[in-house]
Amino acid sequence: MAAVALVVLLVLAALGIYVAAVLGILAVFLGETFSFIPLVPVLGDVAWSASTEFVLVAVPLFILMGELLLRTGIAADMFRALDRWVNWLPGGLMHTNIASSALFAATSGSSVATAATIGTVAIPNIEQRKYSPPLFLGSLAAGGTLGILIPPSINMIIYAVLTESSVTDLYLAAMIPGIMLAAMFSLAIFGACVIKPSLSGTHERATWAERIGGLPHLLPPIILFLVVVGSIYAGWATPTEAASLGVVASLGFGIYRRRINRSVLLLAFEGTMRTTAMVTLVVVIAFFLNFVLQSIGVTQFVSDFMESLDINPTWAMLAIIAFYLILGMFMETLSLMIATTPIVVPVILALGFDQIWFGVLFMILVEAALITPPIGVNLFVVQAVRGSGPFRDVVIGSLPFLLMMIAMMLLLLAFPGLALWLPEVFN
Amino acid sequence: MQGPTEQGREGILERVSRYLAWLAGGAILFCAVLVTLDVFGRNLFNDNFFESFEITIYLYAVTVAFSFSFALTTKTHIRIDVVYARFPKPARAVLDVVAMALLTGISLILCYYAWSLTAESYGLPGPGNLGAVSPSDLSVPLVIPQSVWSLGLTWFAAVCTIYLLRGLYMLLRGDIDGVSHLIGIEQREGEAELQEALHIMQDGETK
Repeated sequence: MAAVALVVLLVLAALGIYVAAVLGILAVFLGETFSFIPLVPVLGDVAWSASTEFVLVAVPLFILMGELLLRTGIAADMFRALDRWVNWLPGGLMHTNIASSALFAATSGSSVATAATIGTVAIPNIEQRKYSPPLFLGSLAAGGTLGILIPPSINMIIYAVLTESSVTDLYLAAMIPGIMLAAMFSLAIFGACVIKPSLSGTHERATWAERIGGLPHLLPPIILFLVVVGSIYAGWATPTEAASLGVVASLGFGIYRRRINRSVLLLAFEGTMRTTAMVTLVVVIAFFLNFVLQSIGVTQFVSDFMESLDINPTWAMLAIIAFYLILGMFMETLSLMIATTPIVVPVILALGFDQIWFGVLFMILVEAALITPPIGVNLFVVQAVRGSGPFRDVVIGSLPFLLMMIAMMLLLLAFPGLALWLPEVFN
Repeated sequence: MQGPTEQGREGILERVSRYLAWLAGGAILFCAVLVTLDVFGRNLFNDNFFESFEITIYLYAVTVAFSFSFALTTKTHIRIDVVYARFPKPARAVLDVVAMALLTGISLILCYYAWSLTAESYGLPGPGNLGAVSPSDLSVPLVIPQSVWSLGLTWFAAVCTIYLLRGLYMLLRGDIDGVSHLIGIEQREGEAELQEALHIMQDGETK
């Protein structure tokens, strides 16, 4: 019966019904069918406590910060400054793509904004400097996904709220894997260009004077990173407070650069509230679904069932990874994350895994979902920025980076300490 | 610099939703400033001057409730189009109306139970005559933020209902393009965000 309900709802979602409505219908249906006491009247309470969750306030704040940053032009300056430092490597500008994506990711919570911003500055270079399009485009699509792994990450905040984990612990845990993944992306480019030099374009080596001269452009993102992530790690601010500091700092940069005016602010407000409303509606309904699932005992049933199966945790985790890689090809990532968290997290806890560790792994799975066809938002974004040429290029070029993501997940599975070491040191 | 998008051509619901989103964004910026001052106050003088924690959570609840309709009028609420996109146009229009009907249902349930929670808070015993208050220094009667929040959800439910009726009317008249313009999926996720980002970057290049 429950299985039938689930299939019907997957079909509804695939047919284009609003994801929030699908989750809501599932919650109401399960509550009405399997509960002895009426659960729907508790919706008001659940919605109010979800809507007044201080941790969630970080979502609009980080979005607003990204919106303001985008309009201050610091991303483009940062790209040019970084280029002078890394373009001598085999693969040239593609390393710049990864490095600036990583740095921009460290200040912005959105991978779409990261891919669009870096892509706009980088793509004209494909023709100018004769790069092979696929790998170059792939480095942009994949580099953009670092936005959700390297703190601050909006996806991690949502995961934290849904699983009652600490955002600070998650940010600490994601730090090393985030930097490692960025390095592995660069390694993939380096390897590909050593094997097949024609993939790389021409590059002029920058002088040391040029390199030093560009350094001031790297300051704003570094300062922001220190303000936002540093204040959390130093214990001065909670993630939501750090996001507030970030908003005020980016507003400061914008005013300093004379880029803030009425119309810029209004556009930033629109963008912020559009995304925030979209995210919050799904989260509020997911909270309610979570509540219903716990009340009717589904959560307990799932974890008991997993324990009774007595399967090898590693194989089970590999199966979960495979399941997400396949689902991620077709599903929009936010819905994928929110809709499956209430069921999957009890399963991984029953298997004996740590939920902070899984949070990091989950972010890499979400990143993979962003660059796997047919539905991969970052592929679309990079293709749209490029404007012409076959879509196939972006897809093929992203493959080496997808392999690196899978390698990173296997590393996490083999060495959980990569994620768990930093939180332990700090606590 | 292009002004906020498509302003001239939008109807009253869309325009009001946009204005509300402006107010909401301004409120979020206000929260950021308030929280920042409190972070400095706490770390330098060991005091939270502005009680930003409580003000912020209420403003978040209220601003988001009032922004749900903006995400609807700008087609930002998530829908998945893997299968949807394979259908012919008329079938898609039917799906659009069904989707709108289900979302309207959820919005009405949310609105109803939000008001019932507000009434419940009002009915509970408290120090004043406004019912239950928050357990903090501010002692805010909960009925105040909750009723504004419920009002926001009511606005969302109202916009949903009107969109549903409009969509249904268009569908019955056979105005397939009208339905798809009003409530079709049409734009890909990230597209609006992308167009804006591109616009800003081009703007930056020319300056």
